[in-house]
Amino acid sequence: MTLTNFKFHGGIHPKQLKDLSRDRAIESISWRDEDEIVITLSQGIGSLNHPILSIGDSVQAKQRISECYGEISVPVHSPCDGTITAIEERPATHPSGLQAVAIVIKPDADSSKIDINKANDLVNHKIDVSKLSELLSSLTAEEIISKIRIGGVIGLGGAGFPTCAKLHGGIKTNIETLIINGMECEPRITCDDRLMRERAIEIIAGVEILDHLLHPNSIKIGVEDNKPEAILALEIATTSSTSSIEIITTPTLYPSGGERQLIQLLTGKEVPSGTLPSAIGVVCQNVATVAALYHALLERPLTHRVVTVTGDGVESAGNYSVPIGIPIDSLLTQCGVVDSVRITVGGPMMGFELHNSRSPITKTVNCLIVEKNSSLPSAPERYNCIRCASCSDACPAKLMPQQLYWAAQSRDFEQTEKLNLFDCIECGCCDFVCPSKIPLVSYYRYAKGVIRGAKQEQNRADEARVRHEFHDARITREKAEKAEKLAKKRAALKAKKESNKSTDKPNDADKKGAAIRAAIKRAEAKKKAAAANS
Amino acid sequence: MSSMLIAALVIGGMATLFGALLGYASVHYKVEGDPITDKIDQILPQTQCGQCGYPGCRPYAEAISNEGAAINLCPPGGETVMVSLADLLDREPVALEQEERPPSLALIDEKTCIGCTLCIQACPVDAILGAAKLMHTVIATECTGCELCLAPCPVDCITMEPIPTDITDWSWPDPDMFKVAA
Repeated sequence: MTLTNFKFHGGIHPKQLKDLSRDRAIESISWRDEDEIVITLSQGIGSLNHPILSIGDSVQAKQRISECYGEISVPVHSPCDGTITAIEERPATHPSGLQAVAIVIKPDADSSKIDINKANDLVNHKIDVSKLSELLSSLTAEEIISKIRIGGVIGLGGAGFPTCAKLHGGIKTNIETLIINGMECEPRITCDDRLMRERAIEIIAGVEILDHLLHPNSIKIGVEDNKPEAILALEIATTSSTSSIEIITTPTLYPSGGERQLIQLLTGKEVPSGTLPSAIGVVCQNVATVAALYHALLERPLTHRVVTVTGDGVESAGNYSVPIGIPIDSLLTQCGVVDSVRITVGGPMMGFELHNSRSPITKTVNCLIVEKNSSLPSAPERYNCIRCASCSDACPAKLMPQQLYWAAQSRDFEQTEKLNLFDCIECGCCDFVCPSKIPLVSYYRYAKGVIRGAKQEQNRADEARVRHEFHDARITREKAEKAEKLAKKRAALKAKKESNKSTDKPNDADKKGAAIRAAIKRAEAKKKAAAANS
Repeated sequence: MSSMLIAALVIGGMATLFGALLGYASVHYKVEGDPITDKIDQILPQTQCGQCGYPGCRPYAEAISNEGAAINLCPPGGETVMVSLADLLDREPVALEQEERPPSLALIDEKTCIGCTLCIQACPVDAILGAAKLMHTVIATECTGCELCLAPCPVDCITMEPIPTDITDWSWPDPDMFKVAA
């Protein structure tokens, strides 16, 4: 264990509040008999999945149930044996409170409720290292990444960026440092802490896979100094590892778990604005993600994750390994939530309020904070900005939040972009320190949305312009072609007429006339004959 | 006398020189097309709907730059487009002529469609797919919501459907909407 020599700008010290759940070992909570599993098709970042099964089809645990297109997208899997009962819109676990298409599975009565990952090698706390290295050497880098992708692994720290996409970027460039994020800097959340304490061997096995894949010069695991047990567990696990892994302790400071902040903390290097960490030779992965990719390589897709349930509205706060897709209200009822409560998904700094408790657990849900309605403070009174620049001092991205706020609230979005709005990581440090209690981040989120919307609109307009120009060009071309054809036909007709005249043959009109005259004569003769007969 | 001659020669010489320079510049630095029209066209939403009274976005842009047409005639663009046009042309912003409409897409009722191809011919961006006596359908991603296909349809099987927001294009609302008035 070594201490870091570097730091990043700003940061805050919110109350940790981790005691409620940090000493509670990971327990399994699964679906009840009446529950259904709801698997949202768009989990994390990436293009939408398409279901590959139909209503009425039966599925098995670990079975892939969707197809995805594009590099930045991963499929979803069923956590249970069961039957697909619906593919329809369901309340999504999303700040908007909107619905999203989900695959609904009714678990079979006899389906195993145990976390399949835990049921395997975790029982005897041992990983067959030689078997793992044998497997790794038999696969190419592309095959390994494809296995991780098919296993449905995305970043489990919160943002949900597909791991395969990060690794694709990683194998294309020369990676100097592989960073494993075990910071868990947000208050209240303890799921990564417990994971490091209890499943350090899985994490280290995952790190070895990444080492094999990326060949970094150094591997660093960053852990905040408020998790001494986790640091110890990781150190014990690394002693038997073939990779040289350094565990680095950092002072407890929010948001040191932010990807860019952590990279700066451990390497002293700043990721330039608008680029990805791979641009400076760094790949950063969360501890839970690393453990998940180890399982994915062994054909155990991401179907369960550890979620911290905490807050004063829950009877048994703790860390629970739950199937992805279990409705949040089922999980909370099993944890002893009865009162009317407010549920926050994620940590208190970056989480969002849940609109519908029937929404499911998704891959990116790391924490549920349950607070009694009675214990919630009323919204603080808001004052005007006094330009004290506390926010500027606290901003880990070295922005000027007060200026950004000024531009955003006066709808000067061009100015917000000039002030590097898109470097804002929405960590909420500025909100936390603001003496006037201005909800600064909500202004930045709003401004980002407007700017993104305008860009999309512009792209659409540009496409429409191109299509319209093509349409016009096509119409003119078709007209010209038609006119040309007509002219040719006319010329041909004229030439024919002239040639007919010169040979003095009876033309078509005369022929037709003669035929008609003959027909009239025949008809008259018939009439006469009929008259004579009668 | 000679000084007058010199003066005339100098002035004449300068006039010739500058004339030649200007002549050269007008040929060498000639700008193809009309940059102001291009800029206006860039701002317009390219729905090609003709609701402004001109047969498309480009003709409206030309009318604004050449004939001084009003800048508040574009209902799909709404206030955003009007304000950007006012900014660009340094004109006073004016209230919209028609009400702003929410973005929508054309939807063909495929059971009713008789396959007459009239809507295909009317679509300014070739966003309708089909052939004579066969069912037609709208390519949703290409439709600009111009409503030009509604009128030609002899069986009235095309309707405009507002585009719903889903979680992929949802964005955070304006925080000032919830601010309690002090």
